[in-house]
Amino acid sequence: MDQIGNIITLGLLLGGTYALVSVGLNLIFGVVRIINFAQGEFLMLGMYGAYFCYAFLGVDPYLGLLLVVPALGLFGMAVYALIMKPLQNEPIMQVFASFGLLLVLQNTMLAITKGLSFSINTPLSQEVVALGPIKISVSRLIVLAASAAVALLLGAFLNRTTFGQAIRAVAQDRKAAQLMGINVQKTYMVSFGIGTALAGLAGTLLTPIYTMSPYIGGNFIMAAFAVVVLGGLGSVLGAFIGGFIVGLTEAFAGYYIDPSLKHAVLFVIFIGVLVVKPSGLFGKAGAEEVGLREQS
Amino acid sequence: MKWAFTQKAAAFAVTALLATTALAQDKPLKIGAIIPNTGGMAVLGNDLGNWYEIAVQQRNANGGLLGRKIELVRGDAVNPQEAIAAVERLVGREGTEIVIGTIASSLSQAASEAALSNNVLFWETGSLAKDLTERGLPNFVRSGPSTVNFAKTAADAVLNMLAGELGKAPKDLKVWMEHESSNYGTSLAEEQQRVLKEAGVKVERLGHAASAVDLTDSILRAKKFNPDIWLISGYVGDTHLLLRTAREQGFAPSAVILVGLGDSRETVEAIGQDYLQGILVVTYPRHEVNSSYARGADELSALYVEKYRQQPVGNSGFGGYVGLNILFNAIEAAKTTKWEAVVAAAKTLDAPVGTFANGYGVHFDDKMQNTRANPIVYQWQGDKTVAVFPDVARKEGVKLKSLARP
Repeated sequence: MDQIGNIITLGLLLGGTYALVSVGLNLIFGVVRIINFAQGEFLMLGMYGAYFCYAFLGVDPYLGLLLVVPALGLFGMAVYALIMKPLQNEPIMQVFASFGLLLVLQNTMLAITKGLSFSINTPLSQEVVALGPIKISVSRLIVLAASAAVALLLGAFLNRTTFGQAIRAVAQDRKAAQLMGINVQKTYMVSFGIGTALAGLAGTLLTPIYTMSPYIGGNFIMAAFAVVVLGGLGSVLGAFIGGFIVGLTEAFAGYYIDPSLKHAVLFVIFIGVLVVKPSGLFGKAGAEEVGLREQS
Repeated sequence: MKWAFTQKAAAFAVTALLATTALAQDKPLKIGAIIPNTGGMAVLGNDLGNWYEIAVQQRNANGGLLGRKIELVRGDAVNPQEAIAAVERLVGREGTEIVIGTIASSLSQAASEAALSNNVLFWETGSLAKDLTERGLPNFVRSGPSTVNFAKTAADAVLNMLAGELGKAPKDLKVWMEHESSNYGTSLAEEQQRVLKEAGVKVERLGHAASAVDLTDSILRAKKFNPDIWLISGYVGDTHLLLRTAREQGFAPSAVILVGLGDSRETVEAIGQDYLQGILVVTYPRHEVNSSYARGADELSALYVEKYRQQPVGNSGFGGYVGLNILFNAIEAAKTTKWEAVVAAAKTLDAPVGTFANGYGVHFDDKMQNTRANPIVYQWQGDKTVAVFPDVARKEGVKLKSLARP
């Protein structure tokens, strides 16, 4: 019974991590219609940004996010303006461009770090909360809380603000939104920026947990794509719930089957959901085709 | 008339032969080194290259090899394709007569096959994969340890040091082996399991992906097994994640052994010095080793610092220095750089453990694996690691400190 409690806790904490990593990816896909392979590298930049703040400015990583998140947001907007916008009528080329960006960011960071890995080991990163036999890392608890907060705030932003409604309008029908006077390019750029900033937030909050390497983004991105597709393309709620489905699946498969098979189990479920409901659990039917249909 | 012509022709031939011989002796003996100078392995690659340079410099100061000055030519490679291209360039354009390296088994595998195509020797000083010597490539020799040597040292430490320290007979010991699930970690764990099971130790083994985002499931399973000893064979990121998760979950076996890494600044930064106290690390010998076991290691480390104005990055590069010296001995014995002759000469080398500066000896088995290139076991004590096993490697006055986890 203790073990079941431990596994469920592990799954929820892991789910929070995946939800936080996926929500920005889902926003970029849902609104801008770009399958962004470089999202993991944006997360990696967030981690190194937090490390930079900690090692050179003496700023705790949790405070460092005040610098890192806006910086990543601006970086994302620049990436959209300089790389993605010129390719907006070439969706396949945008995917290749994001893959190229992935390689550029990885190799640039390799050149800077010369292959050495870095970690942050603060007293808070060692704190553990014990609920009877269940032990919970405070760092992971913070990630879980942040994922819930981000899902709520992003949902409120998209539903209750004028700009959020403009983003939803562009996501639903770009041409109609344009006819209604919405600046589509600005909406795309800001959405890409928010998606990148959210990756930066995830990276910053994960810094106390992992040892950084230029390739660390790849550790998260496969599962994040599974979360986005399972939850439903373009759905914030879908990314949040999908994160927990993936987290719990990995936790149970890792403990009861084999840790080295947990991704295999996850992707069997992933394929099953795709076959039964291609739009994902919370996505609207046909959403997976919208981007291509609009741009064709 | 005819006799005079023959005399002149013979004189010309002798003169030409002498001139050619003199030229050959003046020509430097070029050795190509496949080492990554860019990418994720650049730091370790540069360190290995530095140690090679020291070995060459010392040999040249003592008259070179076969009467020729040695010249080291570096070839940068970060993947197998680049390794093949580097060998082609080194042999084809630079005229290197032997190729050495590397720090990654994938580079070694590709580069050694390219070396065979170019009919030159490939002398491996650092890469660990067991398969490199198992495949029977005739121009391939490994002077450093393989994963088998690492696994045996770890298993020896369990049976001959920790069992006594924990007051248990091997049959009463429980060992949990956690390894990353690629060829590297799996081959290490399989060999450790084989040796320990033969000794009657209760062993469980579990693999994980090195890219895993969470390893709590592995820790919970290990905790349920309640082992005396936790043996970890992983890469940097997953090893650090395992140690952090163990600390969070209160998993505190009597002894922890890290195989292949865990003695660097990176591990201290990730885990903290306090938690590392007592943890054992199986790695290459260099620092804090008994001077009668590793003769001259301290002086060579000081020479490195003087020459490069920095500390050596780790201990693996030092194995390259020793490996290159073993190669020099083989070439001297062969009196040529032809790979068939050098391999044959290497087979005749026989030096006991403790002969070379890092404690290596020399004895090649039928597959040209040096069976006397052994890693040793260090323990975290204070702000450094010190050699604790085998006993002959331990400095005077050094004792095994408490193994208990905080």
